[in-house]
Amino acid sequence: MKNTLKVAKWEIKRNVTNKAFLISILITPLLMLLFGFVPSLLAKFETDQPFTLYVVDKLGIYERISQASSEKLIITLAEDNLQALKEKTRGRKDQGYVVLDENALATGLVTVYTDNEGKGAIAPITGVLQTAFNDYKMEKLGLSKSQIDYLKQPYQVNVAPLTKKEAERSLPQKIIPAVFAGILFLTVFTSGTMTFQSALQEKKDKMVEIILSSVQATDLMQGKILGYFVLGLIQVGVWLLFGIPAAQFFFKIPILEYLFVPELLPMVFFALAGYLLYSAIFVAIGATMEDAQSGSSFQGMIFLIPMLPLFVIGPIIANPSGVIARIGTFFPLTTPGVMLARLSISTQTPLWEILASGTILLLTTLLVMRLAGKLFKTAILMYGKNATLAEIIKWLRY
Amino acid sequence: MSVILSIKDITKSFGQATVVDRISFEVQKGEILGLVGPNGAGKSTIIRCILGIIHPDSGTINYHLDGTQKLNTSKVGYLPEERGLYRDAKIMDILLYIASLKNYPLDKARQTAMAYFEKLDLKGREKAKIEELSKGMAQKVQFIASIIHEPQLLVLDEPLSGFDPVSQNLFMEEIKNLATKGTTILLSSHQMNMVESLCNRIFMINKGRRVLYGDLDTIKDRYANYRCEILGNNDPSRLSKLPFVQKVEQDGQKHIIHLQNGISPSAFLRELPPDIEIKEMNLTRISLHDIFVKTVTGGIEQ
Repeated sequence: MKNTLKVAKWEIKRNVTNKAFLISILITPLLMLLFGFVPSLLAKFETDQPFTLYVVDKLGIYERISQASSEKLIITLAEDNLQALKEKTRGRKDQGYVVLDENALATGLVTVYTDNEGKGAIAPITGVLQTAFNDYKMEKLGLSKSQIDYLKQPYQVNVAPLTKKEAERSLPQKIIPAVFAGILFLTVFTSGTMTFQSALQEKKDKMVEIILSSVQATDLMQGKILGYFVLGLIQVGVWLLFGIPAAQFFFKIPILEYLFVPELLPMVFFALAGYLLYSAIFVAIGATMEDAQSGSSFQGMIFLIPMLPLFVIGPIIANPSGVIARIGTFFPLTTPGVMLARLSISTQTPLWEILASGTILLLTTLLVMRLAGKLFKTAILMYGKNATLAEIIKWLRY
Repeated sequence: MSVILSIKDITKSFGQATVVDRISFEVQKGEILGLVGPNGAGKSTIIRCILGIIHPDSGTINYHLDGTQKLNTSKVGYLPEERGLYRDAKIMDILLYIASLKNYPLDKARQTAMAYFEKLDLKGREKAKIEELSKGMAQKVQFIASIIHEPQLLVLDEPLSGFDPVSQNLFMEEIKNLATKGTTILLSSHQMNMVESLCNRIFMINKGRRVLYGDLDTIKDRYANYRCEILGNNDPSRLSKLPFVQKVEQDGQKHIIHLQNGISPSAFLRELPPDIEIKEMNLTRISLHDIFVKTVTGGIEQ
């Protein structure tokens, strides 16, 4: 244990003083912000130019349509004739015209003539036209205003739990645990891969023999797992330290209040157990390889393991207690990701499922760490080639 | 002299191949024991067993380092043949990390390191990273890493490979120095001239089995015949018919005459006919190098 701590301390110190690590801590949230905001920013920039739409109104519904007029989309009644309009708007990207007549009404097809390639600028008009046409038709059928309103009344489908009554959660209340779960999972994954890199580096730097003549192979492995665990915590810590006040300042959301929900405890447990499971697999696989480039497809596939929950995230969001969510919950390799998702989406995950899947995960983790220890011990001393699947299975049996 | 390490009947197999086969030897306190043998003979496996990196399938290894029979890694230093250090770490940090793994006081380790930096021309580089150093410098650091904690038993695997002749001499002196101060050294190497000049005793291994073991002089007495090089225009078939001659090799104008076992040089010289042309003559006992080559090519079995 003492040696495990020494190895862990070394790994932590080495990384914390390493510029690359510090930069990655700072860069990752920036990149996430960038990928989150830049596309919408660019889209905004793209449609910022106001678009003028001339309406040739043969139905007398201009009044209704003009409501959709905004800074970006200027809807005006055309005063010129069709030929003049054509000439006027030809070659213009910020102008176009539309003809609203009985033909459009009958065919259900409205054509906007413009040389603007995108549909973005005129998108808002679609809904307005729909309503305007419907109203026009109903009026033509002789319905009164109140009858029309009655017909137009919208319907919504609401879901209310039967067994447990609870207050409806607001959007931030739902999103913040999910974001936190996402950060945890990302950290689990990145720290896990770092143990892989570290085992590989140990071999590459040819330090293995020196270290193993001082400490046991299991100490080295556990030290690495522990070390990168602490580094992961540092990473999450730094993000939260800056992220929480920033979010509170910009969005005026009391993050901490939403974060410390009862689900937080099992979420942290699943993240930790997941980290131990994945990092044990990664560190052992790292030991079987000579360099990252020449890994076999088998070793590459191992990397997909923590990604498995992403494949089933859709069905889980649709139904957090459905069959797929249940299968994912009890299959230990997907348990961490699936449970993080379920716990952050729903407050109604049955306690027995949390406990049972937690126990399965814990037992699997212990087993995998034992096997990984065996594999690591043999593989880390092999030089010059990547281990084959057959060799790995043989070493696991030692 | 007291025994610091005793190896009894160790055997190690990997799959079908028996790499080390019933090997036994002892290392005495303060001596330099040479572990010699060709590539793949099993030297590295023996060393890894001694260091506790792997465990022999059978047999025992007893240590006398700290009053127990067990391996105390804090008292053992190791310079592996596979050279390397964490490339992106600072020299001093690595040395202190290794010292901490060996449970050696860090302030003392720092002093020892500084003393060696001075001695080995590394002064002022303690904050440099390994990747910034030349290969030779990095090897010096690795040598320091193996002795930073004042080990009682030091295992050196090909310690001089990669050094230039000047550094080789420097390190040969340093190894002798350590031995005089009481460090026991197990030295594994192919470089027979180094083994000859450093080691008191040798253990020679081939294909996992013991070939020779004992005092270097005794071995030479027992196995080393004499050889006589004669430069001159002579007929090799005539030379080979001389008394006490085992065989003759020709190398240009030079003939190398190998004497039969147990024949003293003076007996051979007395029988030398007066009409043999001798421009130069060189009569030596065959070297450890020759014994090594003979061993590997199947000349010596035990």
